[in-house]
Amino acid sequence: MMAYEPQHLNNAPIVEAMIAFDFVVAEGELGQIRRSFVEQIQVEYPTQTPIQRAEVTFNPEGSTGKTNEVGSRCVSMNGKNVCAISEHTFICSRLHPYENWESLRSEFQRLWEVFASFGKVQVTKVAVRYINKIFLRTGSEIFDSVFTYPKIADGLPQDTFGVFVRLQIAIPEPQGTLILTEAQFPPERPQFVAIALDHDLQFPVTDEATDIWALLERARELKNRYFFASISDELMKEYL
Amino acid sequence: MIPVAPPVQSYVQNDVATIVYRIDTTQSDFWMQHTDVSIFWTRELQFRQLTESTRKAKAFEEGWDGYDAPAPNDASVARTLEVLSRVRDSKLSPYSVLPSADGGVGISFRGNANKRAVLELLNDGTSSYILFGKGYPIESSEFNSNTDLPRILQRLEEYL
Repeated sequence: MMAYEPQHLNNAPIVEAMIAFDFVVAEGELGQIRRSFVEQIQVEYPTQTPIQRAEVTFNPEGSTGKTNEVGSRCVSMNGKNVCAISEHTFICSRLHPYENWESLRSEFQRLWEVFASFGKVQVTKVAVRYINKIFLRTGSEIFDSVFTYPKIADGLPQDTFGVFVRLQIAIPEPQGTLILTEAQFPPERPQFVAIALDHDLQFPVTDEATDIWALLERARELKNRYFFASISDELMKEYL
Repeated sequence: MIPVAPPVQSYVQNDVATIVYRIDTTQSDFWMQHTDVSIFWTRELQFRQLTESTRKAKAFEEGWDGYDAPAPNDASVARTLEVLSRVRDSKLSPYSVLPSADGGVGISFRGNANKRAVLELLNDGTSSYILFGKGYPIESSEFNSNTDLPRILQRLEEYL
């Protein structure tokens, strides 16, 4: 178990941090809201590309396909901040190097308030997602460093070279879901293996939890707690 | 135990290719679920596919283009993998990795306003880049992939 829970790691292994709201708007209004929004932030987020969804239908007579524009992705001048709006989701991402929660949250809130100013938008879900990339020395015992990982039966060979884990875990209070994803990357550094530790916390906005900003702060507390509970003290010290 | 580095040779042996493809397809299905929202996973998937394309380039045989194009050799493939790892740390997003008709491997990029760029890592050890696009002057030059790459990647970022 963790002996302490530092609030900030100076060298956090975060490769992407995301805050997202799921939302609903009146039918037919989203296109105009989205267009107004991306135009409004164009100076700060100049690289703007459509998010497209391709649909292909196969049937005995042949296949048909179509591509629909379902959103926009806007990238900041330095390429480190990304704002994406799709049919039901508004996301702000911060890529490596991560700064801190306060800057990500304030940028998210600022952009959300611009977005919401163009129409009546109702938030239905609050999500926080942190993707960490950690390096472990080959040959060491993984459960000494990462506490959620597949256990291989004793009678099987123990050396793995490809891992992909996805768990959906119920969060009791406030009610939500933790989607935990772990994956092993192709080799990057000699003697080390790179593993993704991806925690995606999602909380529906309910009658009991209507304050979305308070819910977001609670999500942040839990993502910290879950991360620090997931790795060993020794591994965490490398990121202090 | 901590996972060990994968046996790289298994990715380029034809006799196990079917199995490797099947595993990769399964993983890609998972990864695709993340690509619509995560920039990081999108880029990981993209570079994973580009890395595989690079390794598969060695399977091309001389004359693969219907003429007399040389097959990419081990050295050009290895240098392409090195360059890709450096590109991964930049803002650039390659569009494809394909064998070069001049013998070697080419990394292609697409930018705004139909601008294009290609890095070529050739069998004889030379490297070159070319920038082109309708209405833009063509710019091309050889470079040393060991020493000049940061400058070249910066130039591509500016151009694209």
